[in-house]
Amino acid sequence: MVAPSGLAQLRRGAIEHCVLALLDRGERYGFDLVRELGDAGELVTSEGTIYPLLSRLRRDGLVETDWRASDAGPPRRYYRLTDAGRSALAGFRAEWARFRDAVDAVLGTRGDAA
Amino acid sequence: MTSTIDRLVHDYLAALESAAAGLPPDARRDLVADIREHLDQALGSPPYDEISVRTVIDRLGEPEEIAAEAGGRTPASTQPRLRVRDAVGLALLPFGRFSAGESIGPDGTVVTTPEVSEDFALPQVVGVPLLVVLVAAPVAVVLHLASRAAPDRS
Repeated sequence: MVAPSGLAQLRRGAIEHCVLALLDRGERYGFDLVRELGDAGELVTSEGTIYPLLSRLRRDGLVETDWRASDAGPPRRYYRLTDAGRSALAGFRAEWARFRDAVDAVLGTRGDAA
Repeated sequence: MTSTIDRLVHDYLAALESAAAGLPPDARRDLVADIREHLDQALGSPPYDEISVRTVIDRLGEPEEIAAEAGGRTPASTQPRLRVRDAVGLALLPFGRFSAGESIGPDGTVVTTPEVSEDFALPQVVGVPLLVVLVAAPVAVVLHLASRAAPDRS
């Protein structure tokens, strides 16, 4: 079996870039972002783990945040993609396609060619 | 009913606080604030029903798992107990002031590096005999095997 931490690492990297991709479509509240990822099926098993990941993206300058007043309750944190985040996403898209194709070729799991 | 729900939320946040005890203070504060905000938004305005509160908490996941993600590590239960670098660190102990330092790498992983530490070393009374044993043991084993093999050949 593959070491669990290796798989966790792969998932983490993929999910981080899915966050960037969602933010590329438009800025969002953290909660909406987490729910969208949570609803995307197999991607996220526990929604709470997205928040540390968002903090990391913020620390790395790939996303930026500000607080906005909300009609109901306290202010909420709003997330936006930075230029660095946009170029990280572009890099990952190219990288991911190559990586996925290579893995599919070896595993024999390429959908259209099978 | 309200008290059951308050207790569920309170217990969850308390468990998160304690699971996150090992994080730097501001990372911990951020994490708890984020999860609190999530709960606020997911629950909306009262009255809450217990089922939806439990569902929201289930979807958030185990506090330990969330805190582990914040620390850039996988939960302890999934980590191998002894890694090669631990063994190397142990073997280096008698030689003086080495210890393994853990830090969080740029990609969020835990990086363990042997580093010179000013404040830790085995006392010589332990370190020197241990060093002798470490050096002598393989020699003794080789000699022992050689002495067993020698009569067979003759």
